[in-house]
Amino acid sequence: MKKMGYFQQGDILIEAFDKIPANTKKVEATGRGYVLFEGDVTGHAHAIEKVADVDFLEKDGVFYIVNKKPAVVTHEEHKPITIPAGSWRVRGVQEYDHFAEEARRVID
Amino acid sequence: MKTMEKIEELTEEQDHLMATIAAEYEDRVLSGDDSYDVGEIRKGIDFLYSLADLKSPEIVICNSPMEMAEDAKLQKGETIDYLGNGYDSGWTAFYDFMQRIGVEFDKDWQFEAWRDFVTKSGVFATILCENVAFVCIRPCGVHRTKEGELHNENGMAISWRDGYGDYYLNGVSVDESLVMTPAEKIDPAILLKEKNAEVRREIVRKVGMERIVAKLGAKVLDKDGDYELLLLDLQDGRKREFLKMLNPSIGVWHIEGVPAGTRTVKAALTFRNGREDAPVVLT
Repeated sequence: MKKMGYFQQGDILIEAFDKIPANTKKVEATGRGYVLFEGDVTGHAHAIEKVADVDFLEKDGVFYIVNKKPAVVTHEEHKPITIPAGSWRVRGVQEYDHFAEEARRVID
Repeated sequence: MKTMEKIEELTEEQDHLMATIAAEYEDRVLSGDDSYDVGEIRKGIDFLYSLADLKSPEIVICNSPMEMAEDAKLQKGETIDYLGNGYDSGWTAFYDFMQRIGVEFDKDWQFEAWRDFVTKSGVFATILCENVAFVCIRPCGVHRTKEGELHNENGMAISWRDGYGDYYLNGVSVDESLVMTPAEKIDPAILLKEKNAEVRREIVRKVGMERIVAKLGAKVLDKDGDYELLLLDLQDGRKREFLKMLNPSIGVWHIEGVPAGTRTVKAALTFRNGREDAPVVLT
C-alpha cells in the first residue's frame, strides 16, 4: 500500500502514523471539540469536532488521532480539512529565530 | 404521562430561531451596553451559592476584569471563575433555544434561574469566594470585524468602565503601540524580533509588505508559487533568510525565519515541515 502523506492546516501537520506509542492518555474534548493546538494571542484553535469513533491521545506533549471515520479539522482562519479514517500524529511546523539562534515551534 | 417525541431534524424555522437566539446572546454581551441590575445580580449569585449549599455572600461589583482580579487579590496562577454572560452565553443560548422550541428540562436543573442570571444581571464574569462574590460588569466598548473578531485600528478593541481595555487587530491581541502608532512611523524591523507568528502577520498587514521589503533591504533568493525566500537585513550587521508565504485560506502574508544558508524555497519548506514531501492538502 502506498504510504499516506500528510495534511497541513497553517502551522500544524497531521501525518499518517502507524506506531501509536504505549501508555498514551486519552484527551477529553472541550466545548470546542478536541483541540490540537490553540493560539496564544487569538484563542483560535485547530480542532476536531467531538464525535464517536475519534480517539484523541497524548503522550509526552505529542497528540495522536485515531479515527474510524473521516474527521474534519477546523480553524477560524483556515479552510477545513477532512482526514480519512486512520491513525495520525499531530506536529507543529518550526521556524528559525535569528536573534536567539535556535529553531523553535512556530508560536501563534 | 406526557408522550415525548425525539427531535431528529430541525425545521427551517427552528434553524433560523437558533441563529437568532445565538445572535441575541452575543449582542447582549458585546454591544457595549454596560448596564446592570443589582437585584438580578443578587438573585443569580444567591442561586449559584445555593447550589453549593453556601450562604448568601457579600457582592462586590467591579468595573473590569482587572479591577475584579485586584479586588479579589488573585495570586499568580489563579484565574477568574468565568461564570457570567461573557463565557457562558454560547451554551446557555443553545439550551434557551431548546426550551423555546418545546424541550422540557428537569426542574431540578433550575435552568430559568441560570438563564436569568446570564441574560438579566449584566454580569460578564465572576470570582466566587466563600463569603464574597466579585462580579465584573459587561464591557462598555467593543469593536469587531464583520466576522466577529476583536479589531480596532484607532483604539482599544474592548474597553471597560474603569478605562481598562485591550488592543486587538483582526482578533490578535497586540501592544497599544502597534495600534496607536501611524503605520509610516512604525519601524519595520520590529517584525524581525516579534516571536509570535500572528502578531508578525498583523505587523505585516499594518506596515505593508512593500515597506518591509524596502526598509529591510530584502533580496529575493528564490521564488516558488506563493512562497519567496528573502534575505533581510537584521539591522545589526547581519543578513538572514526568511520565508514569505501566503495563508491560502484568507490571503494574508506571513514571514518566518529559516536557518542561515538556506538557498531555496524547497529547502526552507523542508526545514519548516521537517520533511521533504509536500502535503496532500494545504489550507
